[in-house]
Amino acid sequence: MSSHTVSKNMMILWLRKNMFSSWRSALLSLGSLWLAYLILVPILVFVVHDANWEVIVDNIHLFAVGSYPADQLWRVFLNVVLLMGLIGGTVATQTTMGIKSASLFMLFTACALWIVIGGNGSDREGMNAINHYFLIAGLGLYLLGYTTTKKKAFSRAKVFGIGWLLYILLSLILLSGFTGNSFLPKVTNHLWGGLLLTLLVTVVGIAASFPFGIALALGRKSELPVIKLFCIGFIETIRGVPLITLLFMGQVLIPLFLPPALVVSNLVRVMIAVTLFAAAYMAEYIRGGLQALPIGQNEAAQALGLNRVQTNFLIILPQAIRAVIPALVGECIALFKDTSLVAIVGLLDLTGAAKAAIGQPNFIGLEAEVFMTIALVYWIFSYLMSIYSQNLERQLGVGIR
Amino acid sequence: MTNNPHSSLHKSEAIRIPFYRNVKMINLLLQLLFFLIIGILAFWLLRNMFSGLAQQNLKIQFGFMTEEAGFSISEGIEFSSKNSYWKAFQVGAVNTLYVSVLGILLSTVLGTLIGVGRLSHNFLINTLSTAYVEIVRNIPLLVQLFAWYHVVYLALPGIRQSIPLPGSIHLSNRGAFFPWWEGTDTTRMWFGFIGLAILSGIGVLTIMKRKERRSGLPQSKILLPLLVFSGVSLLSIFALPQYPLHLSSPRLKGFNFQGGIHFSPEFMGLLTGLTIYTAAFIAEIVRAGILAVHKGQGEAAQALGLTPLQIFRRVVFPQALRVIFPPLANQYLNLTKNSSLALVIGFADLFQVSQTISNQSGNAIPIILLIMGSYLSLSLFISTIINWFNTKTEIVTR
Repeated sequence: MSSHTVSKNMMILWLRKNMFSSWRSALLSLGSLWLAYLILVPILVFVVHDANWEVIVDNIHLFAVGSYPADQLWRVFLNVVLLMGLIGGTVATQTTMGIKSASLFMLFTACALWIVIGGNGSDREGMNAINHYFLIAGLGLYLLGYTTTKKKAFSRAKVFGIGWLLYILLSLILLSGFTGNSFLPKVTNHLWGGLLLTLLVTVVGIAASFPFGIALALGRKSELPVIKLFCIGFIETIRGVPLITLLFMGQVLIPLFLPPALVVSNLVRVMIAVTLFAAAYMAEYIRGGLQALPIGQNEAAQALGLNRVQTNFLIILPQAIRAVIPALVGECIALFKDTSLVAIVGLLDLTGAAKAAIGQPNFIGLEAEVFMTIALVYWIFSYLMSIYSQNLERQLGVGIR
Repeated sequence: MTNNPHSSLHKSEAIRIPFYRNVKMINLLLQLLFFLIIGILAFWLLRNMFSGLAQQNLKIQFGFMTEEAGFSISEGIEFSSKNSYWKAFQVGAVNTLYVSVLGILLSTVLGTLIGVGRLSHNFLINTLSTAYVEIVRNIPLLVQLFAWYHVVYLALPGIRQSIPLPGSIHLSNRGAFFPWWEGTDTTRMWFGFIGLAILSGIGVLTIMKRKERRSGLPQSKILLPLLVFSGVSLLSIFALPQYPLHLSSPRLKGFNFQGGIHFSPEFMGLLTGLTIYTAAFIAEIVRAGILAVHKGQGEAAQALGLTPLQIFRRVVFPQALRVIFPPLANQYLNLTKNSSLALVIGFADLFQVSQTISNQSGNAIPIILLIMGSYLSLSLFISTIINWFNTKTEIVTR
């Protein structure tokens, strides 16, 4: 018997075991095959044959960075390169993530970032070559971050926590620049858009809501009735209403609440609303972690003579947060998807850019192409984060008793 | 006298603890400080707001809600531009409830199927269900809604070339037309018979319960009462001189369909989007719930001689439900809140109508208060149900 027939027999065996084990299973298999055919074939035909991808190619700048000035794009690229280094290092802290998944992660990240880097599109000639240098630099930095972290050269968790915070500050400065500065001229934030804005709102939302969420969670568990009531009221009110309500409130109320001299841009208003929203959800997850902690931890800390602040920050919180990290990453994914709502209040994020693109007179009726593309982009990022979160879960051993 | 243990305590209490080390005092002061900070902040914000409103000659009051709306709503309860803002708000609220309830029902069915599919040993079913979940839940609902509305429902052919589906359903770019029952002259009489059927079902149930108590033998108390109920209500149809319900199928007449029931493309887009999106999350919850029931439970039930159906109904399902229900109810709440995205495809739900009222009347703040109040009471309602369920199904421990 040749190896060919053996493998053929194996395949038949496999098929029989996994798809045709009984007549019911066979019926289900055939039914789902038919369903898959009905759904997938038209989509495939559309993607390969019928679709007109010109709307994407022509608007790649819009999708990537919104109206960010083309001659200042290097600032975005630099940001992306730094980000890749940081992601490489962070991925390396995942001891359960094998080299295979890590390289897959890199591939996906590179794909996603290539979309941003492709952002100059047809704007300027010669920039394409530079883009590729940026891409190569990004990949290099990713590997560098990965390998140096793998060597355990430093206490990793703290370094990356600080690294991410510094990165957020740096990228905000880099992107906005200074008025009158010739090297980093001011780019007002109503010009920011596309995927850049989506990521920015997400990252700022996560970073700002995290400490706020911790404070709310602690407040809700507090013995002091005034603080406890306030926190409960705040959390439940925000969790009880849709995000879109908060976004509109931000639009209407923030300008009213502030003195007329103080004008905040649309982006800042949106970020405030998103932060408040995310903080309430984070607080509930962290509260779950606090409740899961045995009371003995608190008592032991008191017995050792730690005061309340020390007990919370050295004993309680590190354990409570560790227990709910996967849930927090899940919240980050949800927040990333929820940022699409900022398009409703007039920001030009990825979804807003899609709306703008289908409104262009020379691309009428190309909704399918546009929505498919941005869905793919959103999907890549969410899926990356969910792979990361599953790894974290495995590494932390949460849920395994 | 001297060995009285309390005397030393009294002595130490006599040494007065300075107020800044007294825990009670510190707590009180901390709360006062917190209250002051929040109070001052709130006062400052509100003062700014009221001075701003005074400059624009606006007041926070709800009197304008009785004014004539001046816009029309084609969805839901009949509403014309002559009706008041209040009425418009009610129409929106009813539409929100309508799409939410339908979405909850459909997504539960779809989600359960896919959740069970993910546990299937059949490779194809398993892969397809997993693909469904991984694709759908990683794409924002907003993008999905846009896609369903613009790419699917608005791209359907015109009304004269509408796509017929089995069961005389018609799809076109003006929405979906389904067959629906219409009442006839005898409908009321039939409802009377249904009442009778319910009563007789309850009667049979009480008899069975009494019998069970007397004999001590447990038995299934669902089948027979249900049989009696459906028997009476179905047989009464033939007793009536005319069928109580008449199935009316949509028929193309001129430029539109007549008969049946009509759903606008906005409604269909929203319902499809919400259902598909929420089903992915429900599938994960169902899967986790079934996996959470320890394998030994099913095996033990098998060893006791229970049939597969009994094992599922009496052993696995009740335990899985305890895990499934709280997050499931949370998803229902999410679906209801997410229905506010109807705004982007122009479905006249609570939020969209409120937005229109706000723009039309210029009273943004009362409208925001109304919207928040509505959604908060919905949330409160659902979380009350969750809490009730939790206390009812809680495992009794020491």
